[in-house]
Amino acid sequence: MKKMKTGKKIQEMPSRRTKESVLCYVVVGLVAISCFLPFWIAFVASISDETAIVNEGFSLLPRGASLETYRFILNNKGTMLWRAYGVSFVSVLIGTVYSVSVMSLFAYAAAQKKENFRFANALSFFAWFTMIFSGGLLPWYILCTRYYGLQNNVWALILPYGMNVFYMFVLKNNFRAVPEELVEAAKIDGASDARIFFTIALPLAKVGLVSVILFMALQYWNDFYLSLYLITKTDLYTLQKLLYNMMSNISALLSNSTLQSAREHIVLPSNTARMAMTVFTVLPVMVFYPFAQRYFVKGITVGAVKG
Amino acid sequence: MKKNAAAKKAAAIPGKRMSLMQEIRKKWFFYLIPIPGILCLILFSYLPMAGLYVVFERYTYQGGLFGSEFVGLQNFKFFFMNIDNAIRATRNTLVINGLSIVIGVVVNVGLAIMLNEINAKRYRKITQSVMLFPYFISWIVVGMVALALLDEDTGMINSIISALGGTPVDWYSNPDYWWPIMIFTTVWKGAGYGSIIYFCALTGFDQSLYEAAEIDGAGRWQRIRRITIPLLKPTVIIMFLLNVGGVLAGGVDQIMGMTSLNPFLLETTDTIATFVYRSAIQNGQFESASAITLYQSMFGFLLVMGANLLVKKVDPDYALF
Repeated sequence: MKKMKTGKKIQEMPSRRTKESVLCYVVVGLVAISCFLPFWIAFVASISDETAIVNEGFSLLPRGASLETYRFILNNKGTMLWRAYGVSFVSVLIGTVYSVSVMSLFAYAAAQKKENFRFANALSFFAWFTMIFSGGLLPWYILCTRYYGLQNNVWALILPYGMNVFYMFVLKNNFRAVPEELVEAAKIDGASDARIFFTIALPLAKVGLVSVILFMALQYWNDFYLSLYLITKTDLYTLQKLLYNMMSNISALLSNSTLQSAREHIVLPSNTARMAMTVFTVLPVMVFYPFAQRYFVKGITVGAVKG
Repeated sequence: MKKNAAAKKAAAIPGKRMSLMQEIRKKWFFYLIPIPGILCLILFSYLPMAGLYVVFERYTYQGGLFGSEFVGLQNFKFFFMNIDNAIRATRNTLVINGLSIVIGVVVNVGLAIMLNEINAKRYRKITQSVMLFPYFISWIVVGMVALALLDEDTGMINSIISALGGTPVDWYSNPDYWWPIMIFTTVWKGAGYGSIIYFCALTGFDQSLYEAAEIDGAGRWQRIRRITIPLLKPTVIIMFLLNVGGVLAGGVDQIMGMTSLNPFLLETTDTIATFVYRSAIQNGQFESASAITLYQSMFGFLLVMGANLLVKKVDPDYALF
């Protein structure tokens, strides 16, 4: 009886409990630190002095902390950076609305009972089959660039991700979980299928919907594939692509700036600039993170239910 | 219940008699809403499957996907000329992904069990949040951050090695290090996400099982081995299938982010996905790339089939088909 009162956790002999528990605390803590530390080092580098990094390497604490590198990037590469931010944000906003609409409409039809919509199972199969078999990169690339006109325009960064079959099945499970009595009652009251969808099914599937929205927003924000394959114009670089290009040819990117004449006297801040760009790329995710991860955890649990 | 079943029957019988046109008129909503999704699937999944026909053509821009000159199996000549690279790419794909999945499951389940042992709720929440963070970050950013650690002259790890009196390691020019690095980063990036999934499953287990086991004298390890791990099996299977599904699609951004396709490292980092990318888009050799793309597609199919067969052996309920 006493055990029941202490709650769900089982109480044990204190000495064993503490020894093993301390190990758990330490291991989990170390893993957490390993997940955080690399980003901290990058941040520290972005506010450090370039010559200090070249001479002494990256460090845990800033050497000669200043925002000089940020000023340098904003002064010299500001337009490029803001443009990349713009392209990334536009693709996230339009892309998320577009893909979540496409998927939830499809999922709702596929979630119907057979008596209600005779092609419901066929729809699920139609989507599921693409998980088993794919045509590979080359035909996809040729179709996108030559036939659909998805090259070097913002739609190329948006349209190909319309149907994510896995998230569609997550949504379908959510719609399946809507109590049938509610739908039946609404039908008896004379509500149309469209009305039932918008006023009953969608609000009740909210948890799944929000998490799929977050997953898709994250996918669009972090996406590198579409800009790698379908974008060659610098005007349409996303933040990720800009960062990637900085990684491979930083000096080219920095040297044709207004500083060219003074080049010999100045150490180009290539290490610090890379890390500052990294900070620019991570910043929106960080701002968004506390809100996002709450729903993320909820959504993950919903998604882990078998489809 | 009875009433419900009767109502269903009543609805079903006239439904069967309705012609398709009548039904479409009545249920227009359901016929309308999947159309955008169907279009997406056709445009970006089914037509590319049909487009595999390009394998048998000498593709030209003018001729297009279905109008270029038919050359039969000639393109496979390039594939077999390049067979060493194809074997290398297959080996790397299998090793990196296989080990990442296996080690990932062990690490994630281990972390989940440890998280479950932590009673301080605050500490658990904070560590979970921090561990999830890398999951939100793109591989390009991870590659940048890795540079701060692995760079040969300025990287943190080499600084520590030199401080301890060792010789600095040339991470970015020796391919031997890159299987471990790729596997480690994959596991690291997914640890927070995976452990949360297993942790959520764990907390849903029936606690009375544990209490009964304890009364019967089962120790902590026995309870973990005999109760927790068997109960986690379905979650492990679902995660395994999901990961296998991602094997072929994923990888290009990881390898490009981490190595920028550094030619010195291709020996251990060139996977099927990057191999296709390098030959099709970087070099623009559609003739040799087309056979590789067919290979990629077949390989993916076999991988899913193989994974499904494995799952069927372990637990037929969770097989995909």
